[in-house]
Order: sequence, then C-alpha cells, then structure tokens
Amino acid sequence: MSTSPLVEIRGLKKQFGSTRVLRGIDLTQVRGECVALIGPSGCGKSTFLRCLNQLETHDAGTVRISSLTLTAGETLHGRSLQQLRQTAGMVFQQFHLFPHRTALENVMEGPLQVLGTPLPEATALGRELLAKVGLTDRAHFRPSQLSGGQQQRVAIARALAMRPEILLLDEPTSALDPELREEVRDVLVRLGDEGMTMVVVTHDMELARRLADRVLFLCDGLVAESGPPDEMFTAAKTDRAREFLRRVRA
Amino acid sequence: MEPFYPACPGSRFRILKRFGACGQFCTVPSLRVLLLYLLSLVAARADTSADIQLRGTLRWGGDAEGGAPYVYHPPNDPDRLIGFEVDFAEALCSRLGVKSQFVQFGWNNLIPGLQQGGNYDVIIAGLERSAENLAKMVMSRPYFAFGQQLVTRADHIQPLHLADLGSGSVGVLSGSSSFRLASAQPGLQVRVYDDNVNYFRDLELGRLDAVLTDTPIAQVNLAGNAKLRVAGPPFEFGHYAVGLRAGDTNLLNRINAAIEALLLDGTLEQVYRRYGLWNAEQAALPAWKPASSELPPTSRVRRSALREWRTYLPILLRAAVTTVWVTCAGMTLAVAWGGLLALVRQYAPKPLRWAAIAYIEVFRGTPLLLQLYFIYFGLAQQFGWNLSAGFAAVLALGLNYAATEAENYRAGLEAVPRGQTEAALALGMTRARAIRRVILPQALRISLPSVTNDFIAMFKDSSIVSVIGLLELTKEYQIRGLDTGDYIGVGLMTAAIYFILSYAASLGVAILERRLR
Repeated sequence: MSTSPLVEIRGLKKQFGSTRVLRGIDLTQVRGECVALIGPSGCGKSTFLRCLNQLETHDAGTVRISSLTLTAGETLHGRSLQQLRQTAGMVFQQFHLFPHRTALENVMEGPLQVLGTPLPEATALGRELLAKVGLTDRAHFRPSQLSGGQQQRVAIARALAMRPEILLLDEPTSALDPELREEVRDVLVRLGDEGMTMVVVTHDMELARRLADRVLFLCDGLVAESGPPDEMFTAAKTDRAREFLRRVRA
Repeated sequence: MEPFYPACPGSRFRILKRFGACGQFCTVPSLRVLLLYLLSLVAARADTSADIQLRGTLRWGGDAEGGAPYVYHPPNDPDRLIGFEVDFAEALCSRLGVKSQFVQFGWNNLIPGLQQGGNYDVIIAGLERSAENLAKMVMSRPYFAFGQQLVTRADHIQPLHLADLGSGSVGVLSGSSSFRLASAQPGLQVRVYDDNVNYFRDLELGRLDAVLTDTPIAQVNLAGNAKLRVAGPPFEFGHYAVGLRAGDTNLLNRINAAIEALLLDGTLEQVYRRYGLWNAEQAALPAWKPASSELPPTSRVRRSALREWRTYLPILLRAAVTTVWVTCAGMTLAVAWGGLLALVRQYAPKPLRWAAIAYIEVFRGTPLLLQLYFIYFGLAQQFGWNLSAGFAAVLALGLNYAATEAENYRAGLEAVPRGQTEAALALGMTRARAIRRVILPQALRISLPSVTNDFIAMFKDSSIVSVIGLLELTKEYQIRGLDTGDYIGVGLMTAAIYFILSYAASLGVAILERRLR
C-alpha cells in the first residue's frame, strides 16, 4: 500500500450565487482513516462531501482523490468521471434506493450497468454484500417492504458493490428512528474496522464517537477545529464547538 | 369558385332577430295564449298549419354548410343567404301568406329534428321523395327534379357508370340516395361525407376515383373546374319535396296547392333559370301524379334495429374496426412522439426545449378538428401533400394527443425524486443511462393511469375523423339511426360496442399496471 495520502484537499471553496458556502477547506486523509464532519446545519458539510464525487463542482482549491485530480470549475468527463464515482462511493441520508428494484437488484445495478460485470458474478457479489450488511433474507424485497435501517444497509451494500476506495456518507443515520440507528452504526463501524476509508457527515455524535479517527468541526465554511473524537467531545477548544456540542447532546 | 363555406354564425343571429319580429303579430302576449287555447279546443292536436298562420312565419330547416346551389352564403357576401331553395321557400311562403324563416340544422339530423328539437315546421333541403323518406315523414308534391350524376377527373376516360369503377372509391353524401345507390354496388369502396364540397376536393386530389351526387351539385361544382368532368348521363331520376311531420295534413294540402300554383304560373321556372337549373325534367313537374302504390307514412312501422340485430350488429362492428385501428395507431404515434417531446422538454438544450414547449402549447391549445382539416385539406392544398384519409386521421390524432402525452410524461418525470438521479450518478452511471435505467421506469409507472385515460378519450374522440370521410363507429351509428329511425336501438348497440372496447382497454392496462408494480 502506498504511503501517500488517499485524499488531499487544499483551500477548497464553493459558493452558490453570492453565498460563500465553503471558504477554504483543507483535508488530508490516509487510507483506512475515518473522518467525521460535524457542525451546525447549513455550514457546508454536505456540500463539501458532494464536491468530492463531483455531484457539485468546487470553485477554487485543489482536490486529489487517489489518482484523480479535480480541477476547480471543471467536471470530469466520461471515463474519468466514472472512475471518480467508482473510487468514491456515496450513501445518502434518504437512502435513494431504486424503488422499482429489489434489494439484490439495487446492489447489482452498479456492477451490471457501469462495470459490465457478468450477471452470475454480479449476483454472487450482491448476495455477498447483502450478507455483509446482515440482509441475506431480504434479497428479494422491494425497498418499500424494508425498514429505514434495512434500506440504509442496502444502500451501503449498493455503494460497496462498486469496490470504492473511499465511502462518502451524508448523514447516514439522520433519517432513521433512534432504535434503528444502531444497526446502521454497527455496519459502518465494522466496515471501518476492516479498513475502509470514510468521510461521514453526521449529527449523530454516537456514530462519530464510534467510527471516526478524527472529527472536523465545520463552521461558516471553514474547519474551526479538529481532533480525535474523545478530545473533541470532552475538551473542545473553541467556543463555537463547545456551544454546538452542548446543543446536540441536550 | 370558392369551394369551402364555413358555417356562418350570422345566420343564427338573423334567426334570433326574426324571432323578435314575429312578436308583432300578437302584440299582447296574453292574447296569443288565449288564441292558442281556443285553437286547442277546436283540434285535439295543435295543427302546424294554424301555428304558422298565427306566428306569421314558416320556419324551414336546411343546412347551409357547403349547400350551393341549394342554400348557401355566397363567398363575396358571406352574410347573405341565397340558393334556389331559398328562393323557392320565399315564393312558397308568399303563396301561404307568411314570412319565410331559415333554420340552420345539420343535414344528417334534419329528419329526426323535424319530429322534435329542430325548431322548424318543414324541411326544404333537397330531400328526395323516396320510399325510404316517405316512411319517415309526410312529403309534399315535388318542387324539383334531379338525377344521379357520376363525376370523375378530367383526365379519366373511364368510368361512365358506377359499375365501371370496379373496386375503386366513390364519395357520397351521407344519408343521400347516392349513398344508397353506391352501397348497393358490390365491391365499391364508399366514402361518406357530411357536405357536398369536400368530396370534390378529394376527387381532384386523387383520393377518390369518382363522386356520385345529385345533378344540381355536380353542375355548380363543375362550373369553371377544368380538373373534373361529368361521367356519363344523369340516371336514377327523382324529386325533391318538402318534408312535413306526420299528421300535418292541412299544411300538406296547402303546400301542395302552393307548389302546383308556383309551377303553373312560371314562378319556379324563373327561380330555376336564375340558377341555371331549368331543364326538361323541371318542365314536366306540373304533370306529376303520385304513384298509386304510395302509402301514407302512418301505416308503416318503424324498423327496430334491436330486433334486426343480425343485420345491424355486423355493420356496426365493421365500423368499429376502423375506430379501433385509428385509435391504436394514433395512440402509438402519440405515445412515441409524446415521449420524445417530454424528454426534449426535460433534458435537451434550450432552443430544442423551447421548440418542444411551443409544439405542446400549440397542439394542446387548438381544436383537434381544426388540426385534422389542416392536415388533410390544408397540406394538400398548400404543398400538394396528398395524404390518405386514414393516414391523415392517425396523424392528426397522434400529433394532437402527443402534446397531452408529453405533459403526462413530464409530470411523471418530475414526480421522480431528484435523489434518484443523484444515486444513479453516484454509482457512476452517465446521465443518459440514469434516465433510462432509473428515471424512466419510475416515471412510466406514474404516468400509466393518465395514458390509459387518454387512450379511452381518444377512442371516443376518434369519431371526429368521420369529417374526412372515414366510416367509423359514430358515423355508422348516425347513418343507421337515420336509416331505421331507431336511434335508441342502434344507439344501444353502438354504446355497447364502445363500452366493451374501452372497458377491455382499461382491464388490459390494469393487468399491465399490476405486472409493473
């Protein structure tokens, strides 16, 4: 394994109209590291995540993910864009499973359609990943027949099916009832233990505490503070972070 | 000459004005009521003859749409109403001592309208004094003699007779004696028209091999038209007569006497000469005597189409085949073209998107009938695009419904959450693949119920294509209803066919929907 970082971001900026959402974010992340982004709503956490797989295009700064360099103001084309999306898998707050396909078909869709994996192999991979998220017996269920927690686990399996190097998770537990969050946290923590690199945007401090090697506190488009979760949650240095943490825990 | 007379709304206004004038006869309304009451004591049933005298006007029903030389608005003065029947009616009314008042009514429905709903006392509309018509109403002595005239293109040597046409096509007026004659000719393709103008146009364009029509119509429409010529001499001579309600014996006697007088004193000769219609047959009219075998209409029984279902059901089913294929082909076009329009409107670059929006708004915002005329007659006239009636019908229905379908699909596309596209893109799909694999399958499921509705709506809307001569189910209903006078019996059979077909379509889609879910 190469020793150079998997992700290197310098001075990433993004604005929507006249609103400057991200004002210069730096992040260096090595393979196997899990980073949690926390911060008040509207501070640009999700936008930052979406800039990494180019669902949004950043306006300034340099971004390198694995072997791909993202240029400010430009979207990658064709194969490189596909390679970026394959390298950086994404899991959404609202799951966004394809409702007209079964759980297994959802997981197989990427390999079949994008990678051109033959059907038997894609099926085997789908079953393996469903087993990994504990849903072997739900393979032929439609998303509408699954609970929120089960849907999110299918969504994680769907992202993993592309064999990504890094997983981008946008509030993966926020849409779930509290009792269903634990099953998703367990799956993610296990993935982290197996060495998956992850960036997770979350309001779920329990998830951040269990999953993250490092927590970044974003405020007004900048990283206000960062550090290991224990340190951050017990002894935040900035007032803004302390204030935020007190409110999310109350 | 201008071959196309749009129905003029002016005539209706004129009717209203004349209604206003008729109040002058009895200035005090209660006096009129009293008179009517006294009258009802004398006769058990109100006599139309007395009504007319009381009112001071004879209201006669006719159709001015494409009605030259009978009743028409001259192109150079579209507010006026002229024609040999207008002049005949004026002369008749002045003999009866009343004013003449024209009532516009669709040709197809003139006879049923006489019994009720038509607001006219008699029909003067080139009605043939045929056994068929005599079975439905009382008819006066003839006021005009006509024959059947075959018309063909000037560059055709043949045909001279109907039989020469073989399996060719002939255009006729619906419910006319020409229709009856042409239908009796085996192998001939009969195309039915609602007016006396458009079949000549189709003949010029080569869409028909011949037209069979009454001599006056042929005479007027061939004047100055180098492209058409009469084929062979007139045949099957007959007479036009005034149509009256059964039981109007007083009025019948007065009208008969008036017609005889007008024939004898040369008034009608003057009228017919004015329109270039005077000939030996007209000169023989004063000597006319009713055939001894002629029975009064009251002694005839109305035919029951339900009892004769073995005859009428196959006829209606044959027409239903046209309805079904026009609808299926039209809907196929609408679905394909509408789908493309929706995709362009939703995903294409701006100029294309605007073009799609413009198309949708124009085709949704103008009447289907107008589009059908435009495609069938307009394109032929302007660009020489000589489309067959079937093709034009499918094209008009398809292009019109495509606009509706496009909006259906757009609603479907917009109902698919944005996150679905993002999830597909995040998996590495291209935008096109995301649309095809993820968005379209979901959008189609959302749109399907509306598509079913439109299919059933088009099924019924397809009756409009009869205006370009396609004999579909509703038209066949009109014709057979008129034939038998049994609008309820034929109507029930027709309605049953429509219902069974549209219900089958709903069931089919319901099964499809269940399978897609």
